[in-house]
Amino acid sequence: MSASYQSILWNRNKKMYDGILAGFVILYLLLFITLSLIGHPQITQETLIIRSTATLALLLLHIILSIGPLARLNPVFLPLLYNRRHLGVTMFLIGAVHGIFSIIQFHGLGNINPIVSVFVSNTHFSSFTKFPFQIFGFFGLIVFFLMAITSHDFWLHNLGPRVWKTLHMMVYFAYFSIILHVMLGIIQYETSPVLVSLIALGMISIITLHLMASSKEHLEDRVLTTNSLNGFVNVCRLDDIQNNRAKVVCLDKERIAIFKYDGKLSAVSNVCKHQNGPLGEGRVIDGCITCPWHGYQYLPHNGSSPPPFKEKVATYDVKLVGREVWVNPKPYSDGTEVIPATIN
Amino acid sequence: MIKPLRKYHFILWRGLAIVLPLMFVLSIVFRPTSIEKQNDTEDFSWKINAASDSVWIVSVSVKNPLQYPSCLVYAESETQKVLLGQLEGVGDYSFRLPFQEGRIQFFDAIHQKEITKFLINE
Repeated sequence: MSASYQSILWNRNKKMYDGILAGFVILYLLLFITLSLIGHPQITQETLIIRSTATLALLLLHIILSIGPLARLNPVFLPLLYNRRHLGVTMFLIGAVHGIFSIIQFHGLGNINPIVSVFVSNTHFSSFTKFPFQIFGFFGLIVFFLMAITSHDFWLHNLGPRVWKTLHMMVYFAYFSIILHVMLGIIQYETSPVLVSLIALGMISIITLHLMASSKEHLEDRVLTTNSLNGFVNVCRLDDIQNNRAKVVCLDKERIAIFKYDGKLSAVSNVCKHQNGPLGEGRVIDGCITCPWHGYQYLPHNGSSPPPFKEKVATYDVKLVGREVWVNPKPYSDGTEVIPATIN
Repeated sequence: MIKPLRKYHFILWRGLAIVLPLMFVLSIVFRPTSIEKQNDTEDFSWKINAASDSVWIVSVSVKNPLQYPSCLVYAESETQKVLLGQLEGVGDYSFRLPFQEGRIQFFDAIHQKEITKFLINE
């Protein structure tokens, strides 16, 4: 969280994470090149670059796509989510090396513009397995490019969280495109079952993780229809909420997070203003609700970020009757102060 | 995430869970059992693609280091001969054809000798 834009908010964890990422990339490339040279001594440098960057970018893409659902299924993976942007930009750069070298290698010679050649050198559009697979890779790379250049908070702030998030969810279209690029490309001529098996394994893992996470979220989005009284809805017992943590419920269109802290209860929107992160999965740290995704903070009683920050979320009336917690699902406007319910 | 995006996720991944494995299986099942026969010699292979009715492209692959000091590529019809470009070494080349009938000629300009030729409509 910062009051001004900086290219990267470096901290110890981010440096460590980037160090591990850089080490992994170098190690992978060295290993791939060494094994390729042992197995195929005649392989050219261009082919080595194209293949090593292709497989590395594909591996990184699978890791990136696993982080979101893993973090939703288990908070242990949240630190990976916090650092996911650098992984995404790295994957794009490696994919771009693959794309640029491939275009130079296969389309750079002749009297046709290399980019045009990608689209016109193979015209089997009516055939499934002969379909010009390079087009899928090209469109996938365009999506990754758009995501990489808008990955900074400057763009998030100016596009708005909803547009930004929608743009970045195009990664699923890109994933689909990249899988087709691989399946209709190299797999058509690959006799070894290893690559096919690895692609299948990666694809099944990604699909399974996303189905599990989205099913879990879908269940949590079911609107609670328990006892209601004077506009208030009985959401849980006091003991259901851990200290400095929240209980998340869905009472209307969006989820509400009810926090227990300092002998009080306050309810705010579960949606962080930064990247729509789940505030209710965060903790109260130094008196502030802290988003688990990127550390954005809000005061529990008014949903406002402490100065000089200006982010605000909606607040709700909450009351305690005996040991039962009741919440009014009608939200106050963002940043409205609400008296917390006191725990006797 | 907000509720509409979660719902979008929910629907999208159910769709991908069907489409992706289906495409995967189809791409394996319909894999060519043998490499398609190409027009080729020991040193070159080529094919003609119609990008549209009016745009035809000749793709040439040079498989081995050239044995000729120069290798020019011409498109030749009954009335004209157009230089398309030059093959300079191993690699894949694409040239747009100025017409859709006639032949392609690879020509060694140093020795003024034809290397090979083939018909565009072969």
